[in-house]
Amino acid sequence: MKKVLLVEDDEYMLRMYQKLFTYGGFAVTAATDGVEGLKKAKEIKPDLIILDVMMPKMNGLELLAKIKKDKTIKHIPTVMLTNLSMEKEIDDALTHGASLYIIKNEHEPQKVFEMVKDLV
Amino acid sequence: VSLKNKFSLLIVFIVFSILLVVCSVLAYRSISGLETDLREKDTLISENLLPKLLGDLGDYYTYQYQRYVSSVEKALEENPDITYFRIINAQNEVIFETSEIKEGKTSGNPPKKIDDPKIKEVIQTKQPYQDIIVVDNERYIRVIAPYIDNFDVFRNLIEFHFSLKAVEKAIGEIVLFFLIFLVAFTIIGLTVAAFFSGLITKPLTELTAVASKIAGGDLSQKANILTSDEVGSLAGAFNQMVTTLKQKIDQLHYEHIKLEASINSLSVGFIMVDRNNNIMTINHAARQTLCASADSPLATLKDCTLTHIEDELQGVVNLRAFINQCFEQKKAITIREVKFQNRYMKIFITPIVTIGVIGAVILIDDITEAKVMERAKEEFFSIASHELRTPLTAIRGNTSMIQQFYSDKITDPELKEMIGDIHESSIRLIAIVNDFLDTSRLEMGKMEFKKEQFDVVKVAENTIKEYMTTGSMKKLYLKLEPPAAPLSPVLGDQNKLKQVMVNIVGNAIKFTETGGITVKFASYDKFIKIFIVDTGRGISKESQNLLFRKFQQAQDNILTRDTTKGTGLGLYISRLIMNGMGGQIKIESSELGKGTTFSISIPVAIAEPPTTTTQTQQGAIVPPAVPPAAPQPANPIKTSDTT
Repeated sequence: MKKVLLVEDDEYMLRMYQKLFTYGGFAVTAATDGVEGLKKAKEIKPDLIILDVMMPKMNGLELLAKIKKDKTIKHIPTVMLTNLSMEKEIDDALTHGASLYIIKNEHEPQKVFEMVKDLV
Repeated sequence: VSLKNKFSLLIVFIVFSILLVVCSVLAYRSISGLETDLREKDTLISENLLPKLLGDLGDYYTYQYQRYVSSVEKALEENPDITYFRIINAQNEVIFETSEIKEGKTSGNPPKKIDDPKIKEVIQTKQPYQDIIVVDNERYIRVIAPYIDNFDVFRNLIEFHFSLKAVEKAIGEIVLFFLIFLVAFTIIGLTVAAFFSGLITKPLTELTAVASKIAGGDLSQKANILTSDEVGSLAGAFNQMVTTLKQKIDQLHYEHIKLEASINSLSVGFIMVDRNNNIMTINHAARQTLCASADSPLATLKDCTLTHIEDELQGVVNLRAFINQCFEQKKAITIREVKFQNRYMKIFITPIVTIGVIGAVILIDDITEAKVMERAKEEFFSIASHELRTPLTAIRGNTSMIQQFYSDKITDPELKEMIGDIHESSIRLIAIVNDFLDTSRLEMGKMEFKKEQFDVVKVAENTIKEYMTTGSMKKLYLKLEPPAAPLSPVLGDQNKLKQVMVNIVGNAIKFTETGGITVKFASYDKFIKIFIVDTGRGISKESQNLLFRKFQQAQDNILTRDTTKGTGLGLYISRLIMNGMGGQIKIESSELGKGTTFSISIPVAIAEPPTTTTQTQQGAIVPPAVPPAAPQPANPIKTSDTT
């Protein structure tokens, strides 16, 4: 079973995407801030990492940068899933090695799943 | 007494003095002449004394010696000026002289021979002779005269000496008197002249002294001159002038204080410098910001020079350089944002220009509050964006997942409908939030536009593709008329153009009941135009004017507005986006009941710098002849959100 790490601080959002990926046949691990996210990414070495941007302790862009600097996990496809739609954040994320930048409110969950499942 | 009269008096006095001096000189001269007169004419001696003496003493009798001596003594008594007398006979022998008298003799001395050329001369000529001799430093008139008796016989001659001592003494006294008189008069004259000139010059001197004090800045001085002459009037006028001057200066001072108070009360920092960068004025606000050490009531301008301020602004901004630049260019300079000690300042430097530049005014505006507000506003939208969208996304996502994964479990049609309504409402809410955010970003100029080259036909095709389902549900055709020749790529933000296209095409579908929508293209020199032609309701002229405004919909009454259809921001956003890309959106034509044609212009990508595109869209676009819309029923267009 493929492993996905969801880093998301909003509990409703987290639960929703947890269900989505569970229904899609993934083993879901959740983290609610950037620091925890980095820790779990190193522990479980998931097949896919989904990151929110605005989060406490360490934001998604910082976490992305850290993941992409860590030799053990930098190969893992990482997707930004956020409601921030400013060009700056999008550009930042893509230059730091994000595989996809998805704006949550623009897509239904099933569509999001369709977009990321092929990365694994 | 007027000054004129004083002058007249003075002149009269001077003339008088001169006359007196002339008189004195003349008098002296006449006195000097007296001696000469005595000497030369001596009528006294030759006409009176001599005949008398000759008559009394000329006949000398030896036997009557004592009688003769007494006659001589008597004559000498009567004429005390005669100091010497003698008688000489024709043989040049002295037969009597006054020196004998003292001896009390009874007979004369024997004749004594003398050898005097003058006496010889008189014996010969028998004419009286007179001259002046000096004996022991005293002058005498010597008279030698022959005595000729009644029978015309020369008997002897007499010689006497007439002392001039008394005459000379008298003359000396007169001369002395005149000299004393002259000196005294000169002294008196000078004193009087000095007094008169003093009368004139003293008030003038005083006035000069007062004027100097006033020039020195002491305006409390007054000329205390109470004379009624011209100087008095001058002093009066002078005092009046001083009073007026004092009033004017007080007024100026008052104005200065008012101005200073105004400047000091300004919340904007105010500094005035002269051409040499010396600070002339600095107000409280500027001191507080730039010269905190000198911000006390006792601080003087020396405590806060431009150098102090420069030290304070070290590494922040080179104020002096900007001021000098302002002097050189004679133009105001604005330094938009200076970050200094956690505060943001805007600095204006304006030259003070009269004939040349004489200085500059520097205004320091603390814009920290404005910056904080601006940032707060930006942050508000950013946070609102996230905070509103996140729960909305959760609602929509969950309803969507319910509909997909649990549709078999929801058998109750009403429950199914309720879930569907929640889902649709959340979709609309997200669209509204997105519209609001787009609007605020566009209005604040925070929307970023990419400068990419792309093909508008592809964007149009994608838009049509998205609406295929919706269109077919309403049984409307969605056509794209490909351009005859390939179009030049345009320059702009592809996604945003798509957003505009989606909005316009979506509106067109919404307000078209029969017929359909056609998308066409036209290529121009500097831009490409996309036409969206519908066969809908059409828009009235009045509504067309309002269509692209904020919160406007194509209905006149706000109460009849179809609030279920959107925010009224869609076309407003479209217009802002197109303007931001250097393009344009407008209604080409619209006819009620027949349909509407929208056009979107977008600049083509040419080798020109992208900045010119704005000018192009504003200056160069001329509405072309509109291709006739398909003769199909039209419907009115209403603004709506993009989804």
